[in-house]
Amino acid sequence: MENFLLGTYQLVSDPNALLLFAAALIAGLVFGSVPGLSSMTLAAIFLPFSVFLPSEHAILFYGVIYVSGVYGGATTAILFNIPGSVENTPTTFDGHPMVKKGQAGRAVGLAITASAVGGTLSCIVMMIGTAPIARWAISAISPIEKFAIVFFALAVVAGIGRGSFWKRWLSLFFGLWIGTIGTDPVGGLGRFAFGDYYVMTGINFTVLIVGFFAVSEVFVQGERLVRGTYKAPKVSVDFPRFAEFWRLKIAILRSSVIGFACGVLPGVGAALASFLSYSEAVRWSKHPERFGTGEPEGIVAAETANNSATGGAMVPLLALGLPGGGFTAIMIGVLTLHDLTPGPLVMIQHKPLVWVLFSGMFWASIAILALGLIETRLIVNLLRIPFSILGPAIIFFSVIGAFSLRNSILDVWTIFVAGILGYVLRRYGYSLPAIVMGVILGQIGEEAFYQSMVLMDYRLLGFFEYPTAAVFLLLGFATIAAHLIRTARRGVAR
Amino acid sequence: MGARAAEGLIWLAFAALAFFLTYEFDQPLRGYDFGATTWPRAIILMIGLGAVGLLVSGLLNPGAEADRSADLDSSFDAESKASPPAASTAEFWRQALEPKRLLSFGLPLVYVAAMHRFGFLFVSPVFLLAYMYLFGYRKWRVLIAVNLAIYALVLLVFVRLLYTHFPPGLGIFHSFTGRFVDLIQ
Repeated sequence: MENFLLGTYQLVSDPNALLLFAAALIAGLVFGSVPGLSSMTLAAIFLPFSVFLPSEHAILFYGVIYVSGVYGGATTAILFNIPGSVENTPTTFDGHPMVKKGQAGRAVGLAITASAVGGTLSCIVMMIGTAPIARWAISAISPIEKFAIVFFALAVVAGIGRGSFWKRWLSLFFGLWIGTIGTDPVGGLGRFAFGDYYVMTGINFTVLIVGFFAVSEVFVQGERLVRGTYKAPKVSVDFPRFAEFWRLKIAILRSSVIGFACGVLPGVGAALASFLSYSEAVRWSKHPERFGTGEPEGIVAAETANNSATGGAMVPLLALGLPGGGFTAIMIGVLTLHDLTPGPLVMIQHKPLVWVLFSGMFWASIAILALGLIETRLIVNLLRIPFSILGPAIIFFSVIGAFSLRNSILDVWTIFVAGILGYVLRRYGYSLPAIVMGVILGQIGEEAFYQSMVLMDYRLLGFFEYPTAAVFLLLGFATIAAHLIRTARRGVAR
Repeated sequence: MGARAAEGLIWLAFAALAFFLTYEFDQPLRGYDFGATTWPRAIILMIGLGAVGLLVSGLLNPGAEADRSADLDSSFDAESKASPPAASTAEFWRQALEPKRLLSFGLPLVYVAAMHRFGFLFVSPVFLLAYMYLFGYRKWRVLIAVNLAIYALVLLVFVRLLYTHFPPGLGIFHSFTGRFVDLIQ
């Protein structure tokens, strides 16, 4: 407690630190909100400049943009069906349908509060248990368990939503297949790349998300505009009530645990956290059929988990020097630039730095609530702009975002190819979120699979010798069986 | 044969093609006995399985075409009510080939092609204006003001502050873009 108070004192007593805190908070929100940009973009842009800051301030800046950036992506996900970052994708599933029902303010309000609660809870756990949790996670979760968790998550995703089971199945495996395009992670061989160096680097994930969600959404709405069937969403800034959150307390708690746990696992991070949490919310709900149509619990599950993962990701980063994802990898870069060796020694030799970071992240989570409430009243009004102006602007900024990633015109072509493909797949009842989930999980799963096979001497049944892995695999098989039985029953009923 | 069965056949063809393409990298890997094709082929097999499932369900229930609106995505719900799926092939093609509809997809593609040739900074204002006009916005003063505002924002934030690189175009347009960017920075 005294460490936290000391960290807070360091933060508020230093005007520069306070200024940097505010700048990082706003910059994270802005970069997180703009499709094609993300807090990662900001982190990468700012990296060379971080050298000129004292190490405490530099790491504080990164901690705060990590927290606020994850929340920032939720607003565009809800208002325009365009996730600011990958981890905000599940927020679109129920957030955007709520906007179409005229509940934009309520949806954004739910996201803000869920983000603040998830972020704050995970910061508390992070402050209490960084060292012991990191030691446990590293010894208990090997690639074998990681693969089993991914398998379970895939099985759950195959069942989420309405409509045909086979189309969800195909969407998921099509996503997994897209994830294989590029280079084989073991031998470095080109796969489905036709010798093209651009394709061999793999389909950039941000580009795919921008194409599938932003561009295809403009095509969908644009088609309605030119055919005269477009209906503008109603704008409201009604906020959710406390009673609504109280009703969702179990979902918030469950999502916080899932988010933190995923954040702790190296290489898993906020993206899987939000998808898994959403899947679990559907699984545990008494009304799973409501998900995808504007169910508030869907937003809460996704946003609580992805913000909770930010605190979790600090655990392996600070205690062991292991990055949980791209953003934490950049944070390692920041530490290295300041001649600090990431790992257990940072916790001992640079205690003030660690506690400034912890308290900065904690107060950023709280500040999101206050700032978010003000921001919502402004940002919801974006919906008042006619889509005939907003749509072309979205395309324009998507092009900028895609091109600036690698300065490649091919990335720009890719967003339009993905946009048209996304439009066609949506039109015929395929699930874009399941495709996206397939791409993310496929890349994590493939790496875990080959590492597991090497560890288990290529015995496929070896997974069942590891209790945690066996539990997740059995749960996964049971979930698939349940989906198939439900599909068969529906067929018989028809 | 219903639409679902036809989709099942398309997926089967896709799976067959993807499987065939795996022979391009079917090589043993040092340190990994399963080789480079195991993971992709397992996925393709699952796509094939899904395609058979879709095909069979389409053949058994040819009338069950109710899953047109996307599973986790209600964006098409209003669309499917406002404009039900085409009743005949002729109607399908008539809808698909509506010039304005084609333009709403084609204009962004023309934009990218033109951007490559003439440079992002010169082509973008024209695209924005044309796309907004296509989408039905007719208040010219607002159109021009919005375009200027967006363009100025991009020049200020991306060109001047962030030094973002944009496609410069070819030939003379390449030089023009360079001079223009120098002027702003």
